[in-house]
Amino acid sequence: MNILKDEPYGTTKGFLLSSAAWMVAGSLAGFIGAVEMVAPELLGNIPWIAFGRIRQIHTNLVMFGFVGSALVGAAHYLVPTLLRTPLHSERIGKASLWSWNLAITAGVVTLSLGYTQNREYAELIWPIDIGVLIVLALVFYNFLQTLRRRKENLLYVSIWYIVGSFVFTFFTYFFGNAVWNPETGSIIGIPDAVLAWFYGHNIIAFFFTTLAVAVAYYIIPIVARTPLYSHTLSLIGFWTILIMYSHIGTHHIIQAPVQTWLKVIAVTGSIGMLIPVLTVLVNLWLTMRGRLGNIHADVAGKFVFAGSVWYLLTCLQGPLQSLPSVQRLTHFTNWVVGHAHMGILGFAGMTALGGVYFILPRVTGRSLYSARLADIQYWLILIGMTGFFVVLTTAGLIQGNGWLNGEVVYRILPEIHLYMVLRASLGILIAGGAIIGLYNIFMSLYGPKGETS
Amino acid sequence: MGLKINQQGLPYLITGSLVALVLGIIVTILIPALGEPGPSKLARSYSETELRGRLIYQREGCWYCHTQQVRPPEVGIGTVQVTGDIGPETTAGDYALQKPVYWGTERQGPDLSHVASRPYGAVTEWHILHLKDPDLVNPGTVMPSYAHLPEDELEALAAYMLTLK
Ligand code: HEM
Ligand code: HEM
Repeated sequence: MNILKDEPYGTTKGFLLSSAAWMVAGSLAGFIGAVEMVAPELLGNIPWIAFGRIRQIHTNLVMFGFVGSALVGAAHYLVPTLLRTPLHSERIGKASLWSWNLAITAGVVTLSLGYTQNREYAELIWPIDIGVLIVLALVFYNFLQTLRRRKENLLYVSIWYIVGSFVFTFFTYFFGNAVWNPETGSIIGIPDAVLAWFYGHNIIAFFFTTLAVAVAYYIIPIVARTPLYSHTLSLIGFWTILIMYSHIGTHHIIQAPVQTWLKVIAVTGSIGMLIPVLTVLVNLWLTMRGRLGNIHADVAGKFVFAGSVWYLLTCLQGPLQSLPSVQRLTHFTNWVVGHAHMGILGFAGMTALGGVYFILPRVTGRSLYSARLADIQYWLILIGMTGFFVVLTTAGLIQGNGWLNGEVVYRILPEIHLYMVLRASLGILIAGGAIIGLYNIFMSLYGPKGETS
Repeated sequence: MGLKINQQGLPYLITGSLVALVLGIIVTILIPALGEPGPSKLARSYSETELRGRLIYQREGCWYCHTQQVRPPEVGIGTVQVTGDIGPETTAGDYALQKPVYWGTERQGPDLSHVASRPYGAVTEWHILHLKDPDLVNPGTVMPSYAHLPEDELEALAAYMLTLK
């Protein structure tokens, strides 16, 4: 078997399938973590899945494994399609696919053994960081070559977002992981905290958010069967997100002893983020105005639409919780965990799944194995995610209020116990959705050949 | 307008992204790093055992449940065992010698910035007992037991805890 086989859209297919598999693994890891919050002794204190470790496995798997693979796979479809030029090299694509999966697998193994740099989303140790950087560089090179030989002169806004994302992510990853410091992957003192959130923030902003927006910009007009509402708006959205989102990482540590002026930039910029967010959403929603029927007739459209609604909610909540007066209550609590799931699962994850279901039939040349299963997955995730939001936000408010009233940390645990039980239960829906998705995607790619579309 | 830029956009696009990135790094990392204060009274360098303990703290991911950052609104209010015992507000200088900094992300258990200043927290044996059987010491806690760690690792971890004054 030739793992670098040169087949049209082979890279995309590989990434989509990997994403589905990592989603199963990642949500199961999340589920284990959630169970440990409810019954710490139940799983018998196995060291390599103790909470401190499984949490890192969970975040890395769902972010890079599930959402990351799906978005990178989608980009490998969008770039050639929008430029009307075949991908420069499917072999380079395959090489990046395998290295990516190797890096993630190595990440799971090392994290479970306790090799970690302990900085959120930058936990992976140095050798794996290098692997990730190589993948990012390979992908960028492949896209750049495709761009240079392109037959389509016009660069659609999705291409803008994709190119910007890879330029940004490569350097963000490099600096954020302090790869020139292999031993610790960090610098020293408060600048280290600032750097860590420069990274944590920009990886969310310019890997997950911008790639997901690129997918939404592509799919919505096609599914709605109408041109994009405004190309000018899309450019405004692009440049403002680039300038604004890159400067506000400090909003994650507004209450840490960081210089005040830096906090001012972070809070102002966070509120300013409403500009790029709303320009994108207004543009997308005006494109689909009067055509919600079309959107919801297509399961991919449904996913992307739900993603766009979560984008609005996340980005209304985001500026709010960057205000010092709000963060004094919400910081360090489950409120933030709720926000994280809204952003990564509700917005980026659902949009990415929309991309997966949109692209699959187009790269296999036949319809999805089962549109019905995809629909069931949609509902499971939507219900699970909505539940997460309600449950985690409530738990967060209970914690925050308790602490500020001088309640003992342990006393609050019983008060949020019920919510932790609900969170774990809702996790079953999401993990179930992931398993259904894996089956459906696998069968769509390799199942018995059904009707062609 | 949009259409024209869209046609010759690639150079703008790449340069623009790089400019935004470099600006972000200069404004939000480099300039602030220049103005950092030196170590405070609480900052300390670690002995070999303490450093080992610190790395075990990192390896086990304790960081993901315990913060080391007392925020302004909770000074005098925040409670671990008795009212207000969370300790004094954290200053930038407290972190000055730490690499990496474990300031925290979610708080499942109490803040540990000043754990060694609490009566029990200055006692090595208490820490080892607590690490082995958290539920015995704090009924209802969600902290897992670390009884599987070898004795010398538990001691190193306790030694690190004692540095958190
Ligand atoms: C306008 C947009 C947004 C703003 C202003 C914003 C603001 C914030 C703030 C202030 C925090 C820190 C809260 C705290 O620790 O107290 C935060 C955390 C977080 N945000 Fe956002 N957010 C936005 C959009 C998003 C999006 C779109 C995503 C995902 C794609 C996202 C993912 C996250 C994650 C994962 C965290 C958790 C970080 C942690 O572990 O502490 N955010 N956000
Ligand atoms: C079976 C479903 C899931 C369960 C039970 C679950 C549970 C958890 C738990 C227990 C944590 C740790 C929170 C803490 O430290 O207090 C967590 C964190 C996180 N999860 Fe999940 N999760 C699930 C699915 C997902 C999915 C599908 C995604 C993304 C696509 C996701 C993204 C995240 C992120 C970004 C964090 C970090 C939160 C933060 O840093 O604030 N989770 N999850």
